[in-house]
Amino acid sequence: MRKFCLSCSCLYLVVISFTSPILAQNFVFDDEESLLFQDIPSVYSASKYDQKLTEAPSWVSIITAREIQKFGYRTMADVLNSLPGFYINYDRNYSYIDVRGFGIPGDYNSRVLMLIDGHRVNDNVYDGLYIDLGFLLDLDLIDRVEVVRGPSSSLYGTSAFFAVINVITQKGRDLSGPVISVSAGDLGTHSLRLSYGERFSNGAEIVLSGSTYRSDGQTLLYYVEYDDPATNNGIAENVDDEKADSLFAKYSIGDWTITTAMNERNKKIPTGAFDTVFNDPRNFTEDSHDYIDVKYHLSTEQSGDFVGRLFYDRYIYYGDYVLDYGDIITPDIVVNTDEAYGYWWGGDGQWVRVFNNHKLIVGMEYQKNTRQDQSNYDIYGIYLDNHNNSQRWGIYLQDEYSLNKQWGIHLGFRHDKFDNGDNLTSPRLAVLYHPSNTSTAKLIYGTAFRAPNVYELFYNDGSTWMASLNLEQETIETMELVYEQTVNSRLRWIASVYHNHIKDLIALQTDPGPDNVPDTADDFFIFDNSSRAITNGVDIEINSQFRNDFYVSFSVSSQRTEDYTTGELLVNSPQKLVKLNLSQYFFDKQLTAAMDFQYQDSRKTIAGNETDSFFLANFTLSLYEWAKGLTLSASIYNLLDERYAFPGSEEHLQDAIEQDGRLYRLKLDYRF
Amino acid sequence: MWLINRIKIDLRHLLRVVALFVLQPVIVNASDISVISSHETERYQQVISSFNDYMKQLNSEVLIEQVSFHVNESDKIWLQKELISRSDIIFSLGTQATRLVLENNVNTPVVIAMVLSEKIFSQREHVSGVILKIPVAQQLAWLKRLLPDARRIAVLYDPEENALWIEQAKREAERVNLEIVAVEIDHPSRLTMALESISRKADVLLAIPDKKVYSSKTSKTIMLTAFRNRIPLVGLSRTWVKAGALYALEANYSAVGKQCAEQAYQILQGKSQNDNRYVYPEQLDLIINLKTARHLFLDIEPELVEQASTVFR
Repeated sequence: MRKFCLSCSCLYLVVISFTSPILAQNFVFDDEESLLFQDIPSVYSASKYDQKLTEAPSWVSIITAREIQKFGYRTMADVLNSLPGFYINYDRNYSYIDVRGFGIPGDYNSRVLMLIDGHRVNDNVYDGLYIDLGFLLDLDLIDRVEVVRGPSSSLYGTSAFFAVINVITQKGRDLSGPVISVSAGDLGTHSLRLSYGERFSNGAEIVLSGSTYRSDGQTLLYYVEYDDPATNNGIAENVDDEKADSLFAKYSIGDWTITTAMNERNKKIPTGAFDTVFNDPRNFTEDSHDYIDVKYHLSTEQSGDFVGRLFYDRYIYYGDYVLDYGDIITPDIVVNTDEAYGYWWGGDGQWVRVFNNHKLIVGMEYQKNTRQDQSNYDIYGIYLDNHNNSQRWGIYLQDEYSLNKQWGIHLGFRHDKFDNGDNLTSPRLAVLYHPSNTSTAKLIYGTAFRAPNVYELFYNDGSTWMASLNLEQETIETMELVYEQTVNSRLRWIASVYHNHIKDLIALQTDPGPDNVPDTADDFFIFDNSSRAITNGVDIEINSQFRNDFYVSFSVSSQRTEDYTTGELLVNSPQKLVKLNLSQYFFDKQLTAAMDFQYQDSRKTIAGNETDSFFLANFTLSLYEWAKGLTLSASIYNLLDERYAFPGSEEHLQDAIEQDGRLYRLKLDYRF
Repeated sequence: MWLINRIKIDLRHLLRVVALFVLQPVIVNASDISVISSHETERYQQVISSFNDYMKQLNSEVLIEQVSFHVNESDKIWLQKELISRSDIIFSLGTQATRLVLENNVNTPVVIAMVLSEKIFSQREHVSGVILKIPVAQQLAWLKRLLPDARRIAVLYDPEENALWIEQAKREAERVNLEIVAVEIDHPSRLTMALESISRKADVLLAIPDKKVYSSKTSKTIMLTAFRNRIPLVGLSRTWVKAGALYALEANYSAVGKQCAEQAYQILQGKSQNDNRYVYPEQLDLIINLKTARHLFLDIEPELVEQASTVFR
């Protein structure tokens, strides 16, 4: 810790001394008519929300709708994977988002909180969220994605562990009429979206949208672990299908907004996960989530800004797993069904008021989980029939205090109470220093927690999986120093050094069972709190937009995440990530060519091996307004056809799961 | 040291006066007009040039002297003693120059241009001129033409500076079936929240000259928020439109120079000056950004585009 603090201080001094000559560029307009003649930065060249970035007590990244379109991102996984310090894992069933070296395989994204227009979308069974096609929205409906790194439990409570992702959806005015979008690619992939948005003369706005997606997936997948005549020589044939449908509607008038969203995704499982019969097309999972959210947002000069909401969510998971209870001679093939139902409702309120140099945020949140049920059964019996309900509430207070033009302090606390008696208080302190209008240094201390979810607590199928009733919250403590420098209107860089200390980490373990011998029939899965982990890392990002509409974003992330006790590297934790995004506009911005490159270091696997490091390149060409209202784009993913794999999880026989090679996509959007 | 500095200053003044004589051989005359300007940028020069040309047309005998303006004590003294006191009329451009003139001169009539505040006209007697503001009625009339579907017009303002303007605008808006959504900004920290609320409550954001709201520090935030929320922003000037505002009405600077020349000529003719009276620009330029219009999914009528003096495409 001492070394870390020393490193932070040194870096800070270096950064300050390096940048100080650039800092004094201030415009002075001392007569009022200069309002008319001053040079104003063009909105066309400003791709980021600078004002938000420097004010936030953390490193915030923002991805706009334009960037999503420009780089041809297909899923939220693509979007998040483009960010410094973020990387993904895909086991050909679900995609997982991992942050700053931490990504326990099989964790259903419970350590990242996702909000859609402020509505919490993590479910109440797994605390999970979907970044693949299970994500509630079609990406085309996103206005921007704001990603806040670091623990944010002081504002958001549980799950705001490594990051908070706030997705802001488009408004009716962003569509202004009907829009149709179709795409097609290889692997038999095609999608269709129909949307309508409008802003009416009375100020009301509406967005209606429906999307459907189908993909045959890879027709042939080879896994050496199953290379046996009994398991089709390791070849999974036509068992990678995926389909997803989503609906979204938003209506707002005055201070009121009502939103509803629904998504249903069905994915076949080609990997033989959970000891299922390999290459059986009946293995699949289906996840659906829908919600309705009513928001009231009042802003007045006198009383400040108030946001209140009521919501109702429903999450349903259904999975068929084909198991063989027999042996090689007498197979006994049975379809085992796994289900989860999560229903919840709640409300939250937040009041923001500016008093002189203080910006005060006060809020409360309540969630009643009316249903948190899990079941597992097949023709031989019911192995799990667990019914739960619970509630939690939290109150929080944050003060953003500007001491003067240069110094500011953000101090926040949140207290959470769960109906099982658990209480937790999460503080966050950030000191912001603005040496000039163009630079900001932030020293941040924060803690966050994640309560064990009902899946981790109660899942028990009586044989391969045991309940973990004594689990406690896991916590994280973070120290981070962020420095942001806007060198000029076209060049900006940001650097961060951080230290994370995770205690009582909830992780899935394989217990050797009563015989205490690993890899025998009585082994079972169980969650425990036994681990602690620490991460030390650095992220650096440089953004530049050149005069000729050439845009560059380059980032390097270096970190080491290790087991606190043994000092061993954690699995699925690449120590280096290098990302480069390039884009160039042509013909008065009617054509863009965008490329993104990624280098990711090797990752340790559960078996102690290492996946190969890899280099990916993606290319997208977009033609805007080719005809009135028509936008075309063509993308090539994994342009160099790089072979790469991600570590598998406890439930996989595969130590590493190979990913897709080169893929193509054509997309057409037409605005009527 | 003081003596050396003194000599330097005097020498500089001497050189300047000599230079003026060399450049404009006949300076001292009963009908002298001294032109003093806060800035020497294109727009100011446009006004001065137009003023000169029109004044020459009205009376070729009038002698006009243009003075560079720098704020320091020695300049002030020189200005007062050597120039202002000898002029029949002072044509002053910009707030800084005008303040200096008004502080250092008691009786000489002053014609003012390139200022935004009405208050400057009430500082003393024998002051008149052209203010750069656009009358509310004209602003709203143009807004109705360019954005016929817009009903609710947001205006961010500092009550200390623009409370009266807001009252007037509300009356005028009511008359033409529009609504002014006035949002007070008494501290810059309130701006972000105010902009957020505007995106929900208004169809258009009309920028008005207001130092607290539209400073160099806030302009980018305002522009970006309006752009990203697809709220049409009526800018303050050409530079705002170039940066991404939908359109702006701007005084035609040549016409402003001509208006000022007319006022100065009337004074030279011996007609009594309408003290403390300002007039609005007679001729306005329309500047449109069609790129922004496309972003807002707006179709601007072709005849309006033709009328515009500048169109950013």
